[in-house]
Amino acid sequence: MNRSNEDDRQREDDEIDQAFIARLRGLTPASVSASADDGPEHSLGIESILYRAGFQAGQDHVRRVSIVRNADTRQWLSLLAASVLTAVVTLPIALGIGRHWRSPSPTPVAGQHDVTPAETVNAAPVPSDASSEAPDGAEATPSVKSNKWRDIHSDWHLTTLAGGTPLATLTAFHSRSLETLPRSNWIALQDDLFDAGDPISAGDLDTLTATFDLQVQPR
Amino acid sequence: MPPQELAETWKRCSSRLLLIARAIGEPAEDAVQEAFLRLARQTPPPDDPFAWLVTVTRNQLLQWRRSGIRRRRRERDSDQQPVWFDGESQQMESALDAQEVTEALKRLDADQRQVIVMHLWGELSFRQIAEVMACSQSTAHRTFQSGIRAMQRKFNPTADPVGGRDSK
Repeated sequence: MNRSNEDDRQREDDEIDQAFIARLRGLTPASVSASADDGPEHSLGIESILYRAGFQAGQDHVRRVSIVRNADTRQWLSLLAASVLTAVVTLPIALGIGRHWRSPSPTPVAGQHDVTPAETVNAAPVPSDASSEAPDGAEATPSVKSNKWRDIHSDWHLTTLAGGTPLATLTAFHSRSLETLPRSNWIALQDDLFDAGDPISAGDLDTLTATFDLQVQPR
Repeated sequence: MPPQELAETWKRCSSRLLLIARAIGEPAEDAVQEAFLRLARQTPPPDDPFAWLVTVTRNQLLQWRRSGIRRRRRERDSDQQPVWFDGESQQMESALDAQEVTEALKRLDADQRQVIVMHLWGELSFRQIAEVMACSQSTAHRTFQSGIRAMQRKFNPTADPVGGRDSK
């Protein structure tokens, strides 16, 4: 830098009156305090500079902290919005799937035996045990898997709701009558009252007696 | 920049910077204050604080001039005739009259006035002036020469050392 200044000065020496330049350099720039006599709003001094610099540093600090806090808030808000959006999108789908796979709650047929609904649920899917405990007269009945029986019951229930005849539906679609099914596996909804309107025909009493191991006392 | 260092820089540079700012335009005090406030926030501090301050002050004044901001303040300040030089220098026998020099500088072309003030009283080299004014070093030097000749004719009409080559 000094070398550059010397070169500059040398060039000046070649062409310009150095005495005039020296006279100009003899003037001293006015001090800041002398030019700050215009009024309080014009005050220009190191005190006001330091005061304003400190104030601005504080402002910058507060702004920086605020930016960090807002960033955290935005992050949490975005997470919350994503969660709500996911719930809104998936909830109808989940409800639809749940409705589709929900099976009607089974209850024991009145008059069978007093069991709790939990026992009914546990006992229903085990037809093999039921068939082993069934009396000899019931061995001729076709074995029905629990899943198939549940399907049949579901179809019967749906048909009933649609206004059809359960017995006709069973006969038409499964080629079986109610009598051929093991009654120990019968289940019905609580609001589905057993239709006892059909008269008992000859031979039903024997079948019923053998099925439930009843003792008929002749009068 | 630490406060102590800022205060020392203020003591060393503020008067020269204010004179350069006046040569560029008003409001010079506001521009100087703004430049020092920016220097306080500057991290890391510049290698040459005075050249940095001159650049920031000039850019600030040009920006205010372009955008018209503080025009009212500038017009009000123009009525108050700010002092460019200390009156003590008038006591020297060989010194020029400060007010006459101020008026002569004001009548110069803006670039000539800025280059002369930066070089004579701001003690900036032509290389530094070229960086501040975004021109070549030779352009800065030629501008200085032409401005000095114009002022010399004002204060000593008989002296014309280079035969009137000062026209721009």
